[in-house]
Amino acid sequence: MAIKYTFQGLLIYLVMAVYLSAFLAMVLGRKKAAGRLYLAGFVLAVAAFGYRWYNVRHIPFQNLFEVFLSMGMVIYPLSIFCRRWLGVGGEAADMLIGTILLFPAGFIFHAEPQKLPPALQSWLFTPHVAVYLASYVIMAKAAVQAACQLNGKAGDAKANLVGYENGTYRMVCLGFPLLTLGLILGSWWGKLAWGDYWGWDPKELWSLASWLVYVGYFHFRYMFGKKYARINSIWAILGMVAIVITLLWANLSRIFSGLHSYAS
Amino acid sequence: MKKLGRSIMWMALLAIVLLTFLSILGAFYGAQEAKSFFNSIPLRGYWYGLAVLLVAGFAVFGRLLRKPGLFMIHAGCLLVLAGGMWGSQAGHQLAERLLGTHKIPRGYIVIYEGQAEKSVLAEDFKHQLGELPFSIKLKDFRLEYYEADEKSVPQLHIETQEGQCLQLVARTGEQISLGEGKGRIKIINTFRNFKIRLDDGKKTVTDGEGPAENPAVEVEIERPDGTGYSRYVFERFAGYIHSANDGLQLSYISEKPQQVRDYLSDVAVIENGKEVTSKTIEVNHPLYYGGYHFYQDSYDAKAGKYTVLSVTSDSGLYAVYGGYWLLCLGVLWQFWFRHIISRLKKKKQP
Ligand code: HEM
Repeated sequence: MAIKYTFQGLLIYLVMAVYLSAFLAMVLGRKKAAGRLYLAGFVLAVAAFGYRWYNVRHIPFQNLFEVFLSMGMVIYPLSIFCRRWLGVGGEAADMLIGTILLFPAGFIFHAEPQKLPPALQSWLFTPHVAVYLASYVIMAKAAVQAACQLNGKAGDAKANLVGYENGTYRMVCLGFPLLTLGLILGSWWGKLAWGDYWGWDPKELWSLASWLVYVGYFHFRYMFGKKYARINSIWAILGMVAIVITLLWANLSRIFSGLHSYAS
Repeated sequence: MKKLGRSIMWMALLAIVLLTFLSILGAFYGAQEAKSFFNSIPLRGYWYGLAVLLVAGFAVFGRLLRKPGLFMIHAGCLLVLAGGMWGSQAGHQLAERLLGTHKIPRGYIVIYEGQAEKSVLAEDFKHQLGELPFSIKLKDFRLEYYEADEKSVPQLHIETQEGQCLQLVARTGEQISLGEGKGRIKIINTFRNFKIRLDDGKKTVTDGEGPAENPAVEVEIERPDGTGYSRYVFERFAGYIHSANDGLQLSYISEKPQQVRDYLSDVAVIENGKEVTSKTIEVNHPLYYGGYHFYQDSYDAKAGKYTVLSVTSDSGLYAVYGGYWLLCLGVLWQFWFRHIISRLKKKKQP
């Protein structure tokens, strides 16, 4: 853990502080102020992302520092989209998710710019990472909805929002195509770069497992509907657990050494 | 019928959960072992079972055929499964037995500059797996590097007791402050090949001839009170800390090796004594010819005289790719487009 005494670091800490204040404002019931702060946080996050892009001169998706920075940025548009179009709320949680996502970028991962090694110089690099990071953020929102359902909270019908069980389902429906695209683009890229569309590498297997958890969720929910709503929710939370492992443990742990490992 | 549908659904759910657990198990094995695990006989049974379940799903649930999204998702899975089985080692053997084709599923080919090669080797580079019906000639092998940047300048990295990280260009005379009231650090001398000579019991430090075997830098640390002492920092012995108990972690990087941007093999395909096609193979840009893909895999790191290409057969590949397309279109239709279209329709009707 290290503090970044750089302009990049400063920008990230600012975004975290603003997201967190937005969250606190939300908790205190100051919805309007919270919304404005959230927007300000997003603008700063775009600045942090753009600054990084300018510095490394390629889209900043290469390492975990950059991926977390990007995830901390996409949370805002996703929040807005989900409320307006899908009737799924949870902005307060999103503000907190934004802060949490930026924490590893701010304090844990190194920000030293790296050149793109030959395997990453592919047009598939950008879409593969982009769909994955968006789907991960969406599935995190799904897990929050599921946790609220498990906690027995009632949805906010006044605000024109769907209930938490439905909210979870809508989030998974939004995220699943992106997750599928990520898996397939990765596989296609593997074929171009390494010669195999599937290498049985730990990272690949973990991402397959995460995807399968959601496939299981769909089938279970199709079979039983809302009869076992709590199990539906647990299923969505397990999906998020698998994603966190795919993103962090499978990349960083030496147990899962493979082509995708950033451990060395 | 209803009962049958229910049991098929249960089996599908079980099959999905089982595969989830098997994937996680495989992740602990590492890629090599996982590959043999998923190709082992019990797992082959599983793959067949899954395919049968999918087919049974189509037979029993009319919805899977009628709803375009659901059809594409499940047909896509089936196609990927079929393509994967067809392209596996066992699939190749089966094709050989049934159709008399002879294709090598996967291997390596080592080619020296100016020579043509057709024999495909196993992973150990000793066993020959077979010969291609054509040969590949290596005209030239090249490496391209990124241009050197400021980072390839020799540098001293300093981590202070408080955990602050500083960097200093390691050139004689360069210096940097360690922070308010903490003194400064100054580069006294740099060595490509640091050596200590003992002359009459007297130690002298020299910069030896020959290759840069022991790069080092001599620094002077000036305390706030004006007194100072010097320290050597060795690149190859980063943990070597001279007596000084100053809490400073110093490391020296004499020069970064230039980073490779690309590996390139200029090759030609020779069939019946004639050159039929040529291409520059790079990472991410394989050659495709005669039912095989050829990838840049490795090279002669010492002299750059040969290249190593990996060879994979394309059996089943297009089924897998077709399945991917179906699966992608299917999920997009089922979960996104269908809803967008019905929403737009609703909007149109006031
Ligand atoms: C193993 C045999 C399988 C059978 C018998 C089967 C059967 C079914 C059935 C009957 C449905 C319900 C469709 C509906 O009426 O809404 C369904 C939905 C679905 N299946 Fe499968 N399935 C199988 C495997 C798979 C696999 C391997 C996948 C992987 C992608 C998959 C993905 C889906 C998805 C995404 C849905 C949509 C669920 C929803 O709309 O909520 N299925 N499946």
